[in-house]
Amino acid sequence: MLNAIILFILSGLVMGTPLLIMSMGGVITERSGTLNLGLEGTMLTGAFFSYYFAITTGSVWLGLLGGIAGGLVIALFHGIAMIYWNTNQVVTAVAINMAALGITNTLMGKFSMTTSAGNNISPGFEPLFKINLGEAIIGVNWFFILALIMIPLTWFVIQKTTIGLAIRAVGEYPTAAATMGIRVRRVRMLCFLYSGAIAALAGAALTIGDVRVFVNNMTAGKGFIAFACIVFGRYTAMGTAFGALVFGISEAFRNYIQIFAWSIPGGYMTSIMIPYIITLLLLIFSKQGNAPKAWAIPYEGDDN
Amino acid sequence: METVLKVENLSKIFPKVVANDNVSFDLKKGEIVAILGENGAGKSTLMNCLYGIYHPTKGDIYIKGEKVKLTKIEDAEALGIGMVHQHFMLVEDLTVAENIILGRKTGITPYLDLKKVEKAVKELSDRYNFGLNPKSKIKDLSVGTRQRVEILKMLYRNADILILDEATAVLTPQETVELFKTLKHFVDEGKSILMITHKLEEVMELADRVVVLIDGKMAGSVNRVDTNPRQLANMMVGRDVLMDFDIKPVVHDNLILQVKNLTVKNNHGLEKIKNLSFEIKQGEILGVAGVDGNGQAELAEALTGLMKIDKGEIVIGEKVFTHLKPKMIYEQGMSHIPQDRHERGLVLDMTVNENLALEGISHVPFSYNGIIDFKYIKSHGKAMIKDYNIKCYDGSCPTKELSGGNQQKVIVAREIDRKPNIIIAVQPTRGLDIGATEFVRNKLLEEKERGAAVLLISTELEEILMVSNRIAVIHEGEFMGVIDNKNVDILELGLMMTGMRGDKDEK
Repeated sequence: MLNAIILFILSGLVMGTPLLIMSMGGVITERSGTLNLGLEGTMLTGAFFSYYFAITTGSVWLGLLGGIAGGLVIALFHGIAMIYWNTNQVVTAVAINMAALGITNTLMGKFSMTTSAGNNISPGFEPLFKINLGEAIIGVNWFFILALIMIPLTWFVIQKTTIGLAIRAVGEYPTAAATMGIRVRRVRMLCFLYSGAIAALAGAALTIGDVRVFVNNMTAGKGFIAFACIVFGRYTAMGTAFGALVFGISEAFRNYIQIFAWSIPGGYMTSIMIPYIITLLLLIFSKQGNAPKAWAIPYEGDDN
Repeated sequence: METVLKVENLSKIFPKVVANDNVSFDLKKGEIVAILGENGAGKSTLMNCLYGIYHPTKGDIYIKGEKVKLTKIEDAEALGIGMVHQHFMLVEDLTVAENIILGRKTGITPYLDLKKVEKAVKELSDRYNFGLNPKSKIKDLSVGTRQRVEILKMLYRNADILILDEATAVLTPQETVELFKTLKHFVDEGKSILMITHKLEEVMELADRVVVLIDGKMAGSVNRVDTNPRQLANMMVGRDVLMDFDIKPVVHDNLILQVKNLTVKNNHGLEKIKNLSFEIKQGEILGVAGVDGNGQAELAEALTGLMKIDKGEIVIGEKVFTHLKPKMIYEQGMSHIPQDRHERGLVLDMTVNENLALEGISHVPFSYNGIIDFKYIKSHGKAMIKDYNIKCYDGSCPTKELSGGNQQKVIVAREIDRKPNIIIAVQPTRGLDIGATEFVRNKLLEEKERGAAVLLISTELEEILMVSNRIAVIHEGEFMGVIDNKNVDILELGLMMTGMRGDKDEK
């Protein structure tokens, strides 16, 4: 029994690694008062470009850098539109996500990444070590280590540094922050670029960190799940991490159902939906709120 | 005495308006200078120029003898200028210490050494007897305490030229007394203070010199000892102002409005009005004084039908009108001048004519059987604009283009012109300048003379004292006392505002 619990938690962490990484970046943006619904598209872009550059250069590290650069470009457009031009934050994100989907799909075809034998396999990060749990062997790579480090690190940055204080202040009452000499738009933009880079890195964890291929729309809503985790986690690093972990475990649960062919009502279709149903239930029954007061409200003041 | 701040021929021209035109004044060490002026006189623009938020179009600023160019807030702060804003610039979810250190580092690294800040804040607070706990969150503090945090923020940054923007606007009389004591203490220590205000009594009590602005220009600069409130008011408005109203006694005996054991809960289930009873006679003004947020908004909304009544009765004339829709209450002759004129009083995107017709729109002569008579609305608007002296180019002007005072006049015109028998006026002069304030107060008095029962809810004690026949003080949804407006002890009213029951209960 204990073994099974450890198995679930560990494989939940491994399955939830991209989500954990991304939501740790996302929570910083949300705390600074910007609505980031574009995580999905940014992650997808990062997944594609890390895959593309890993194949073309033959180096996973250059692939990773390429992926992050791709995500940064998307976040730059997205952020400038929302933060400097005060566009509608929901509509802009929808546009960004659709653009990312279209661009990655088109480029995938254009660069002939697909052959009759399936998509080309890219170089990937090898597992650092493997955990043998009897029933299953779990490979752990450094994305997983990074995710684990990011949880306390994100908490520390938000709560214990002057940077975090500035982030919280621009999320709560940007005008007050501005009178203390904080450049509201700059802080928000930097937060946004950071979460863009992190989302792209999480995308790389999907491709070169895991399956080594890119598949059209392979993020499958993870960006939105990350957003749900942040809301569920009441905009705190620890709460968000917990949400991501729960989602990871439910994903692991789904996989075991499929691998071991456990019989459940509705069979395969139900098993696919499990993580999403759990997320929905969590959101419905959790205590919500605590959103930064200036959340999703464009800053109208002058930045000097 | 050393001159710490000197402004020479400063002008600030925006694309459409000249906000400051050739303003010159100076501030010496250990001195309090008041910048007095109506809304839109250019006070705020001037302060923003001194605080590095705006850049003057023309003219020079000298600080401690040196000509400076203030391009951002940090420039002003580095020179020792600190500003206490009218709307507190405090993040409610953060603690006192966090608000004070915001935008600064505590060491070389980005690590936030909160303990160090808390200790320094505590020391500074003790030095000025502020009694602040650096660890309290702002949202748990009273308005007066929040202001002390604002001031401490400036002191922490070693400001020795303090700019205070309408600092007493939100304070109780006691808090104002405390603030003035603190300010005098600062001046004794050699700091200098520039206070922006439109309140004459403040100027008379605190300032050494007064600079009066009118339409961005200097109307004059006088020493406090050489002037009096009347002269200052005239300088500020540019004409004679009515300072004392003649409160005629109530001559009628019939009760127009009776409120019996009213209890109102807000949507969190908290009792905002607790078992409140009062009555207003024909031709009487009952003033309700109190610190903002003690149930004033709920009282007005319950009476006008905008909020559900939990218990109790509202009697208009002889009939009970407890659970009626706002429209039916309106039809009983109750008019409402709401607290928030943008949210409740006006549709800002509609024209002045339309706003004037808004309430009567379903009745003759504004409409017949549901068909709107636009011709009548136009002529009605034209007449009202003339009668109530609303400044706009035409009745077809969108209401949002009017100044605050003229927007309020639109509401007053609409609510009063139909000769209501009850008027519920909430903060009717908030944010208005002397001219418009005088107009609104005069109208309320005229209505009372005509025979209306007026409930005036205001946080400005001065306003209540000027026009009311009786004064009730509300605190946490209860009246602490109802007294006749004769030889009122202001300090006693102030105590009642903080929750002490008055012993002069009139029965």
